[in-house]
Amino acid sequence: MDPSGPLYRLFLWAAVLLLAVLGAATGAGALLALGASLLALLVVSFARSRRALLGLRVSRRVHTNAFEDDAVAVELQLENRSRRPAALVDLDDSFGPSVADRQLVLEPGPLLPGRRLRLLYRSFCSRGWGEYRVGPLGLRVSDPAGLFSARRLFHQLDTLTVFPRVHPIGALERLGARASLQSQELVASRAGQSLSYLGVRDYRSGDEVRRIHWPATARRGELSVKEHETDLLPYFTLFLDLDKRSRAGTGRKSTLEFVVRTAVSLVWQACARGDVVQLIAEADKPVYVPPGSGELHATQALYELVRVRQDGKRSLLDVFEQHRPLLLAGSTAALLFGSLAIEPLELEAAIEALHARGVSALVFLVNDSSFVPIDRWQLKPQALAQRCSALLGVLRARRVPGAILGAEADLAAQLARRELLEGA
Amino acid sequence: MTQARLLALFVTALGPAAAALLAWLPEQMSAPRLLLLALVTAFAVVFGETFRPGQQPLREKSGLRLRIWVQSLGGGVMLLSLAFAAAAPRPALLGRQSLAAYVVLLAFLLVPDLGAARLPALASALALAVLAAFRGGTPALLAVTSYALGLTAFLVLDHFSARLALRPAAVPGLRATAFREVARLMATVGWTLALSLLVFRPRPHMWLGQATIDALDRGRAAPAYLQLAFFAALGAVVVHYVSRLLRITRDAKTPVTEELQAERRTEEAIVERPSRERPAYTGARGAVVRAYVRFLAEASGRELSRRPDQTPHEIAQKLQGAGAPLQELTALFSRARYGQPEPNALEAQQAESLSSRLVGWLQARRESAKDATSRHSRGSPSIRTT
Repeated sequence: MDPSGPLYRLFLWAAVLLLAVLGAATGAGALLALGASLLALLVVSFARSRRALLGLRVSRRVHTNAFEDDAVAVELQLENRSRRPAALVDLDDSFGPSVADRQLVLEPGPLLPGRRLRLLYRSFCSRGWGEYRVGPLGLRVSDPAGLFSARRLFHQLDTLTVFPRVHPIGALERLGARASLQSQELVASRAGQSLSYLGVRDYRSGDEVRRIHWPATARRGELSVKEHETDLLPYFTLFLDLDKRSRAGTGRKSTLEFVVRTAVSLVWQACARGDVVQLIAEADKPVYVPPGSGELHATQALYELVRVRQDGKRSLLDVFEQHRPLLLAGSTAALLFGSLAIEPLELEAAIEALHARGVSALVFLVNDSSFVPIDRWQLKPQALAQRCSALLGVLRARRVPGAILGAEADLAAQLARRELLEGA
Repeated sequence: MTQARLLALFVTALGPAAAALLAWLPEQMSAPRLLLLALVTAFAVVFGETFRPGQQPLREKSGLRLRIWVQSLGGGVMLLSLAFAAAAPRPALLGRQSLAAYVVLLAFLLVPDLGAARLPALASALALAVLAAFRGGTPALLAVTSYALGLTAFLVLDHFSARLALRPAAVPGLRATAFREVARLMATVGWTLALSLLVFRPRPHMWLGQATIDALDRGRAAPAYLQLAFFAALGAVVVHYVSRLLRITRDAKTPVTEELQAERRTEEAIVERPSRERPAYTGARGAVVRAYVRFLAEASGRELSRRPDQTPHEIAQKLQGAGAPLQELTALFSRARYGQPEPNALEAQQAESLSSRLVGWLQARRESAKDATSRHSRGSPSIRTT
């Protein structure tokens, strides 16, 4: 909007008043005539500004999710259903994830009657993860002299979910997997049903006749069969601690922030590798994302993750015990604890149980004592050090990749370490 | 567009200035001096616009105090000039005031950033137009006409220039629009001015030449001028502090906005969805269709809750109580509505009669249902408590 418009309008009103007074007082008719013409200018401008708004409509199309710091393209559709061309149309939008309150876009035009114009503006998701509102949309036009402007609000509200940024996790390369009947990119060099060729061996009783490799049989003089590799289906289960006793810190330095960011990184990276991923947690109500793979599934899991709150009443180990039957042999399970308030023996028992089922374990513990305490006291430094070393000792003894994540270091750097055990 | 805007500003400034000086200093204003006046004004306009980037410090916060002082003093001088001119319209005084107003106008044209937008220059030109209008006649006509039309053109072109300052690529596309708008608004203002001048003749100031406070001797007039100057300075101080106060309250509520350059994507015609028109049935076909529709309208709501996907035969099955007449009417309707051959008059008559019978059947059924309900309600007395 032109900032000098209101100033000129005020000046014209004052001029009309002054000219009317002076004209009436001195009998100088020219002053009255000039005042009348300026008044006509004001009246016509006011009417034109209102009329210019008729028949103009704007709507928005925006993607429903993005990651932090992403530039999001928002498409605005401006329609002119009036009989007049539209020029100098100001569109304003409120893009929630941006730092600015309003986004202003000027469409100079002219947009002819009966036409629709698509405009695109980009704004950044500068705020942290969460659900944000986009809208309402505003449309402002002014008269040709810019003296008056009229604005119409379009209450089109969209929701944009901002996901936390994904940090690479080094330990995920140790993922377990189970044999699959479908062909997969991930294979193991042991005999199986893959299309990948492993070698030739002697015929054993019970081998399928169609697997006999006739050229090798002819060459060696005894029956030989072809062997194929095994297709692996990586299967990843994430157990997430949403116990409210784990709450500590505020804003970006809080256990919830660390838990959600780590969980998002794990889920996204696992899905990107082609894993079948499931998510199990319990806040005030159970959070469960059934097994699935692909980007859409990962997006669904991320939607669940950005909505979680730390208001659960059960510890992660209780949740784990309840859902342990869902774990398949050969798969990977990640346990993401929101605090260090876990006994090393209990952790050891949980890892034992996983290993007994043939499940590879991955353990992350968020050091809640490194955050600002909220509703309970922190552990004393000596007790904290003992607890950390005991928990890490359990992980080392069982050769389980894992780490203790603290507020004092950058989360991305902590997660990116390839050998999490040594780093921790 | 920028040149046109400057031309409009030039006309707005020169017209009233020339008219005022011609009105009150006719002896001094020869043709060469008028030409000089035009050249000086044009130079001031062009200089002010060309060297505007050099006035950046004045636009910043550090220059705010200076701006307010200069505007307050300029405004005070103008208001005092007008007040004196209105109260004591002596030609010699008006001539000096016109010169003073022109000097102030030149200052604001040369250094436009001393004021907000081009407001001080426009206000000075208005003061000159008022001074010229006090003379009446041709100078008044020249002043008000050039001021009104020049100001209108300037406002439109200034608005377009300011909005398109960051979008130079859009200027060629909007040039025609801007000039069309200038012409339309100027026509409106011009017509209003002409009609108003017919009603309010450009007469001179009614006290022109009469004895006024101007008749005071010089010894008594000097202290009066001093007092007025003191009041003008006092007014400037008041304006200064009031504007600072207003600025503080305004700053507290400023929302953070982000001006973005939108990418222009596709532009397309709005294709309206064709409106659904019911076919107009005429003749015997229309009579059969209308007879069926009449029955449906009667049955809808109570006996029949229709769905859009229901066929006539499904409706007939649902209303099996209607019996053979509805079957016949449905068959007639289906042939008339969906069949090629035109029904004959006999079939139309038959459809109307069937429709009447079915409507009668519906009404009779409702009556009997009502009777049954009333008998039932009589048979089971209810207890009322009052």
